[in-house]
Amino acid sequence: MIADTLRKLGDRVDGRGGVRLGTERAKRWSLSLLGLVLFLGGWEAVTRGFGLNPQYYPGPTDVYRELSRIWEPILTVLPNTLEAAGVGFVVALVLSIAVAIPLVASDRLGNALMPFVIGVNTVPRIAVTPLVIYWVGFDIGPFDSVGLAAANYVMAVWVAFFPMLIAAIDGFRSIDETTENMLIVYGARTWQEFRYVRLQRALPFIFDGMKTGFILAMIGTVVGEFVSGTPGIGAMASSVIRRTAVGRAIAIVLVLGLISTAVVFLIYLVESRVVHWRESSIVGEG
Amino acid sequence: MSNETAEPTTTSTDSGEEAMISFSGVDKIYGTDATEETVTALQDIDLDVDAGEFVSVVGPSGCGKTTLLHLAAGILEPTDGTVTIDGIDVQGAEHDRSEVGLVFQQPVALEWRTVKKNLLLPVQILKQNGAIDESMDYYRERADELLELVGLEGFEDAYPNELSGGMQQRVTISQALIYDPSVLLMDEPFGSLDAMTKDELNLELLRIWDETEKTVLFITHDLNEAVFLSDRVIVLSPRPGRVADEIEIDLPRPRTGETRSRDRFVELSTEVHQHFKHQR
Ligand SMILES: Nc1ncnc2c1ncn2[C@@H]1O[C@H](COP(=O)(O)OP(=O)(O)O)[C@@H](O)[C@H]1O
Ligand SMILES: [Mg+2]
Repeated sequence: MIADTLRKLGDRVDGRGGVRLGTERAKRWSLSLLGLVLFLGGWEAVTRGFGLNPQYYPGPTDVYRELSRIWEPILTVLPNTLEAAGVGFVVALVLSIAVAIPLVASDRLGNALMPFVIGVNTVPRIAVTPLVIYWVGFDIGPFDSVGLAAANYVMAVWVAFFPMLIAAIDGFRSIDETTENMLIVYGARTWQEFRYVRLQRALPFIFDGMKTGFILAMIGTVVGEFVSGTPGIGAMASSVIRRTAVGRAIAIVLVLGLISTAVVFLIYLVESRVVHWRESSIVGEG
Repeated sequence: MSNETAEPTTTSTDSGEEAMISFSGVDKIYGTDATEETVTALQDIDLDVDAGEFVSVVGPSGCGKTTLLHLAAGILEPTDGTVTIDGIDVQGAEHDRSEVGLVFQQPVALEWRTVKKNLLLPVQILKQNGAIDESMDYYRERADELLELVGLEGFEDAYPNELSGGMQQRVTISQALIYDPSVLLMDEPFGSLDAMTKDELNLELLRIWDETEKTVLFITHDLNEAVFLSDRVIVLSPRPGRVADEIEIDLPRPRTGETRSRDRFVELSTEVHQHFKHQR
């Protein structure tokens, strides 16, 4: 009879209104498209209207022309960049979780190391690129150098790791008092706390960390290539910029931006699958 | 279970060893760091609850009811004194977690687990830690029975955010019952429910208590609910919380909807209300 009362209350939430949601999404997309068209049109109009020199102030059509010219060279070096950034990203992700767990599980460890983590996170890590190349890429001992290109992988890890670590730590710490009390009542051990609650509560944080983390890994690798000159998108950008081929530089930046956007969207798709109990957001938080 | 035999004296505070839940000389002071401002939540609590007894604690909000319950659950450590369950200090390693179930004031269901998986969470943990022996299949079946009992059949595979607050509270109650603890601690479990559902769940709770011979420590701010359910009502004074009075509820069992209209019910309820006014 309790069930009947409840059913009469009829308070189970259902997912109706899906059709309306669909048209709303279409409306949003078409607005974005309109904005893009207006932006490109305005840009083109300004460069042409004022008769600007396309070498220094290229319009969208100039950029497109340059892009089609360097498309093939881009495709030949892109795998280098993507591999360094991708591997660096995955290593940073695994490391960040592996380090975050003990830091959260042990108060003593957390207290000892958190100031260091926060300190390093605020340092402009890109600024030490030459040092990374020097230590990793040059044959200065005590270890054999693994080659100049290895520095790009290290750069990706170095730049992406700390923000991802902080995201993971925030995530593993985001347990509310009532849930914690519940776990005490059941006599849950620390590993059970992580296995049954903290991990799931951390996932949205970790995914947000991944979104910024991938972008940072790309930046790290590209800047590494930029400085060391090993074949990759970064080196290509640096040589193009040195020749003040602005149109090409913009074309390269565009490619980088599109790749990052695509990967971030992919991460978002995985997240909304994995973290099905919660609304996911496309934008990661720093 | 028979309450006639469970009432050897008018007050059971002196029954010593046989008490199922026992507070002796318990103080709880929050914020004992020198820098913080301290709050004495509970002072000089001596309280025994016998095995199979149903005791309610009432008192104005902020008088330390939740604190009292969390001390019994081992969530909080007393600043002074000891709390034992079945003679064992709840702060000690000997304390058997599977003996105590706590129904929290707020729903505790984990949002990524279905209702049924939420019910089985304590079972998984207790089983991994060797605190319970029954097979997982046994508990799965028991989960189905409990869901039917609290009126949630058909919602096994629903997620908590698909349920109303009242329904989530039922999940919390079933979660505390699934491993069949002998002590049930309940923190205003029906506080968020409408009067009709509350009355129904009260009867259901008494039926479960009667069948399973559990010891219940029940917190409420609803004085009539306390009188209706209990063998004994403990009145806490406002800060610092002390035992201001205890009232023996000698209404016959089993209690039914009709109990509330008895003269004796009205008398006892008035007595508790009266006492409450003196507290303020
Ligand atoms: N963690 C805490 N730190 C400091 N003071 C607290 C804490 N928890 C509760 N209190 C205080 O202790 C008193 C009793 O709280 P509580 O046990 O929650 O009361 P009740 O459940 O009767 O409303 C209140 O004055 C409250 O403000
Ligand atoms: Mg309370």
